[in-house]
Amino acid sequence: MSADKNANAPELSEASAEPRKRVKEDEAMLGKIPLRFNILARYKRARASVLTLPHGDVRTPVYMPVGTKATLKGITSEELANIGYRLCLSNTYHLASIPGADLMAEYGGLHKFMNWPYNLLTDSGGFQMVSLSQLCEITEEGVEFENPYDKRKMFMRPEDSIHIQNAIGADIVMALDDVVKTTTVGPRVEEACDRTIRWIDRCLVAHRRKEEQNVFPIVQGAVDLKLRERCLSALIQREANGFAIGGLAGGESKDDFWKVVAFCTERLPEEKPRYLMGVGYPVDLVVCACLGVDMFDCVFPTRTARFGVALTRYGEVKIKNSEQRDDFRPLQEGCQCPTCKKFTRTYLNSIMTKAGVSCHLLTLHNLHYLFNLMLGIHNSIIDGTLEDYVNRFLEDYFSQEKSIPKWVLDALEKAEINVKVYKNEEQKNGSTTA
Amino acid sequence: MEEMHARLAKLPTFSLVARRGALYQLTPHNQGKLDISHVTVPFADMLHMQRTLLRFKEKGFDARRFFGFERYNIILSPVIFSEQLTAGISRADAVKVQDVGLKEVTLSQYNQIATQLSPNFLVSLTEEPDKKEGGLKSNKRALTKARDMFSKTTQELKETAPDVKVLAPVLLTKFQELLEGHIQSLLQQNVAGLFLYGLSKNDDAETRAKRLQEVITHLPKEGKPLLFLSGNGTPEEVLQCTALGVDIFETDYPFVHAEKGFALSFEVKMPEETVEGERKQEFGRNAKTISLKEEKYLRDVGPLVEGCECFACKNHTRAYVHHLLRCDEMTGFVLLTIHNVARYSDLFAEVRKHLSAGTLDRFSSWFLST
Repeated sequence: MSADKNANAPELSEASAEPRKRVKEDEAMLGKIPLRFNILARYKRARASVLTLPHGDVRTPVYMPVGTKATLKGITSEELANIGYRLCLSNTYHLASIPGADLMAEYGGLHKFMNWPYNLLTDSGGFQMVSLSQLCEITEEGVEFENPYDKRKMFMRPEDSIHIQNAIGADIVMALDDVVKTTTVGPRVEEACDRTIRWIDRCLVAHRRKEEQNVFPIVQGAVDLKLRERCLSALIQREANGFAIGGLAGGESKDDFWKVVAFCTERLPEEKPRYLMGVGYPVDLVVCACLGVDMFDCVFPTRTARFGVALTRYGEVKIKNSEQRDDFRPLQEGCQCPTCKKFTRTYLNSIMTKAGVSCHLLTLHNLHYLFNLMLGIHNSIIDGTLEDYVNRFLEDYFSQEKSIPKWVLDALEKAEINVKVYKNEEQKNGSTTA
Repeated sequence: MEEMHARLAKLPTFSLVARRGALYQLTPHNQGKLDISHVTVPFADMLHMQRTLLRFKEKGFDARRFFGFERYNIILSPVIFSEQLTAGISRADAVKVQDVGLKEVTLSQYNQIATQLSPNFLVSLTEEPDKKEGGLKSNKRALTKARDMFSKTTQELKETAPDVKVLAPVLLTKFQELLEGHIQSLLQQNVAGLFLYGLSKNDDAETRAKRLQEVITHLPKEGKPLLFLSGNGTPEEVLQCTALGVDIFETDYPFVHAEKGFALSFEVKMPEETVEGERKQEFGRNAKTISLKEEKYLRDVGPLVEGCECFACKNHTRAYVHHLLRCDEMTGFVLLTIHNVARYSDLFAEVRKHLSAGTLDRFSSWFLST
């Protein structure tokens, strides 16, 4: 570990509440920071960029698949890279237990351990501690939780989370935040918002590998815009190369969801990447990219694959359904993924629940679909055709329902994307009470 | 016969059993890294999709295209080693086949499905007597029906599927006196290949040799039909039975070990200088494997097997596979499967080399003593 590397760099004293100065432009250009964000083009609020990290370039907006325990389930690092992915996630919560930070350091870090030569992002463990542990108690000092594997009581302070993530060695690491369920109301939300701010300073001080890894703070505040404002304005005072919007994709309404996203993207620094955590439904990805989000992660696409659901241009295909039993078409006509090039729906139906490889085949398809969806957004921003792209997406994706959810229309209106498809009379007349 | 031999020049080889429509954990991409030449599709796995199968020709499909097995020779078989998939019934033109319970399948039905699947090789319909309970009567009936069904199938497929090579099932019965007549009858029909089945998991090397000898005794030295063996596929079996004349080994050996978290770790390259010691008759020993679940691999950042050139060994470590297994991650089984199939086909490459060089005996002795 490179604790000594930064021995000469000015360190924040632990007691200090003084925010660091913003990083100067020329310092970034000298390559002293492990992230460059080059916005190639804009379309209203959306941006198409190249995010340069220590392990290479990533085109944004980007969806990051989740490889929880140092692998995507059933997919080798090589298969993932072959689809085109250059940035994926792993989970500190799990890796901290198995194999643990010390062993991970001994292995030379996660890139080496899983033989992934491209970029990695690790989350802090905060979300899993809250959602997966039987016991979870949060105090100012840190989080006490029950280890999921051996039921031991463990304690994770912000410093611990960062140090474990230093050992794992991901290119982007997440600050430990005080996470509350989106449906929480009352003083707990405010407490979480303020604590998140205090913890970011501890995270930044504890960070040992400033030239190799980026710490992203996470904006909290549930669906309370005042708290979001409070949290956000404090966080952007801190020296960070990118920011995340956390605490969403829980139980909140879609209306609250998009409004918080829009609120945050409006106020987060323009020239830095914005990462919306836990979002991965195709519609959500498209809408939030239009609202100015650059990075996404979610287990949904890969998890739903293992349950036999393929994501396609025309919506979900539930491969276990009897109507797929006799269908000789691929999951999606024209799809160039390894699954669609070789197999029919009827084949996939016949092996689903019987042969484990069925999960891998559907996972490969879903990953391929999402990669191309995001690449399409990126490219259409660059050539100025995002609005057409979004309209074609909506037309295909909602071709069964022939109507678009109101929240999508509202959000896209905010994003200044003109929706021309499936509008009923009211919508055409400008009223949005569909 | 010559044409088939030319196509199958690389003998002996193995045929991997594709249970339930897949080669265990292998996606097409990962299959592409491996030297697989033959795949066995158990007929029982096809029964539940009969209705779909009957539309294959209309839709331009056959088994190769449907399963993504375009690169392989496909053997469609009613019986496999690892599970009893058929049961006998008295009806002369039908057999009971496992499909969530036993279903009666007529010869006509079997052949109709076979025609749609259009495999390279079709083992004609046969039944397998109960391994424990099967007495003389059921064994005799199995062989009689097999002969009869083989003969009818050969006739029928000449018209409906002339490209399919029909293999005659030969039950490796303990009632060995039944075999001479059975084999003579098949030879008279100019059989292209014999599918030897009916070995039990408890059969030791001596019993296996005896059963096979009883078949081989009745085969001509010149123009011997191709011999397929449905067995456990252990290296010992492969060495023993190659020497006896088996050409293709139907097996799921690499998969079975991967499923348990084992990597095949036997050495296959015999060093140039070996002392010609006494031949060891240890055919019953298990092949060398390592169990990646063991804690001792926690810190081992070497390949699964030193010197192995497979994708898994060149790109990943014991520690990583150990971690994946510990976390119950499917990727661990994927990597083990890739390694095991690669290792297994390396073994066959060496067996072929020594067979044609005339050094199979020496290789077998060396292999079994290491």
